[in-house]
Amino acid sequence: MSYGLEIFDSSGNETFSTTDSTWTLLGVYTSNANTSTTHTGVPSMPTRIVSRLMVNQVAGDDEAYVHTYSLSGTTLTTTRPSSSETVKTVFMVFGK
Amino acid sequence: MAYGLSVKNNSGEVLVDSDFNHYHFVQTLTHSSVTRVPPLVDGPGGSYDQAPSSPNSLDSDQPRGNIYKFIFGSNGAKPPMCFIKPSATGGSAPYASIVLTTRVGTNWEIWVLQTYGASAPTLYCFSPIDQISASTSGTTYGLQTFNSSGDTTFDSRLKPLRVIDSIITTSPSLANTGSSNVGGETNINLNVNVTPNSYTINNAPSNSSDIIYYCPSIAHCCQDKRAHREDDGFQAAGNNSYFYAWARDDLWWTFYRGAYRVGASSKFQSSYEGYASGHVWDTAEDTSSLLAAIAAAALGQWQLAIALAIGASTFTSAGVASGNYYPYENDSRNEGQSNPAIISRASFYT
Repeated sequence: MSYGLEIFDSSGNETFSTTDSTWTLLGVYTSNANTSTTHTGVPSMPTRIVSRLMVNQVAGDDEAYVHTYSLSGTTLTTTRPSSSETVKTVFMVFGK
Repeated sequence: MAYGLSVKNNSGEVLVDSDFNHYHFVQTLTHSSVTRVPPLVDGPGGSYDQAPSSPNSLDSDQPRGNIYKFIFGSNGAKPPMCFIKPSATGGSAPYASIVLTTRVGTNWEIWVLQTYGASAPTLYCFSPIDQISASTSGTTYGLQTFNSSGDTTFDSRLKPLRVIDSIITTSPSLANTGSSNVGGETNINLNVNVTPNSYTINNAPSNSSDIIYYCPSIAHCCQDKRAHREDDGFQAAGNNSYFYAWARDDLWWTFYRGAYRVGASSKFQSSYEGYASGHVWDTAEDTSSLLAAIAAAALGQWQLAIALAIGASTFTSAGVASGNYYPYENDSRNEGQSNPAIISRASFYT
């Protein structure tokens, strides 16, 4: 490495460097079942991604749609695809 | 930021920002239990004069993966990032994915669905640093950052998350490419045979078994095979001769969840794995009169058989939600939704 930052532990093993990539957690947002929700105050970074989690079991007769979303500026807009078959969804917004 | 530390690479990507809690490695996890969704098999038993009395079980080509349950102790409400280290990679590797991440008391419970018959996967679990209580005493080398409240947000002694690639994935539209209507065929195939969506892993190590991935499952699909058999005629037996007619309808189905693997040439592959399977059938036979026999042959009521079977589907002993797992017909949900896969290396955290 000719420039940048390298961090080592006491044994001389590299634990992090600017040649790495990573994702920093910007926020966790929950949209309840069958409900469209707008979340505000999402921090900004040059690049962001959104990961979704199902936090309840998919039941046997449940169509189990996850919310769709759009992220613009500081607003995460989450939309229920179905008024009765959309599951509770956790959104994790990462930035780098 | 007015103060603090922000570290960027030459692409302008933020690697460390003292305002935000970074994910750090906590531990590797092995599963605490393993289960499968019990099969749902239901239909009239007994024997008939002319109608077939089989098959009356799941087909061997109806997949049901193992569900590995992991318990992750974390003192906080922010979900952990649990990376799957698969038990195998390559063209024959099992598919695996996190199908549930839920808070249970002060723990997080994570379920991993994986192709049945493979060795269990391992999880590499990370938490935001404000939810980590690991000791760093005695270790004085490295870099720490703090936010405006004086809370640690990054600590190189705790092995911060390092990512080698991030891939936006989707799932194939269906898991099985065969037709639903199989005529009178009863040797059906509901195995996952769709071509997976494949993605190149940038910066992949030469040893693909070092790859770990975070990509919780959101897609699922449900597919079935429907068979109809019938016959009618006259059975000559002297004074006991009779007209007969029979019909039998069979319905097999599998409910799949989106799943992933590190395939051949270190490709990250998105496909499905069987979560639950069922088989129901109904049979009608009449030998009492010609008109009754004709009525019997008009059977077409596997939907009724499904409805009857729902009541039998209580799976509490298996620790999974009950139900028939037949929520819709030959379709999928969430398959076109973008789902980021975050790729790292196990060797970063040993």
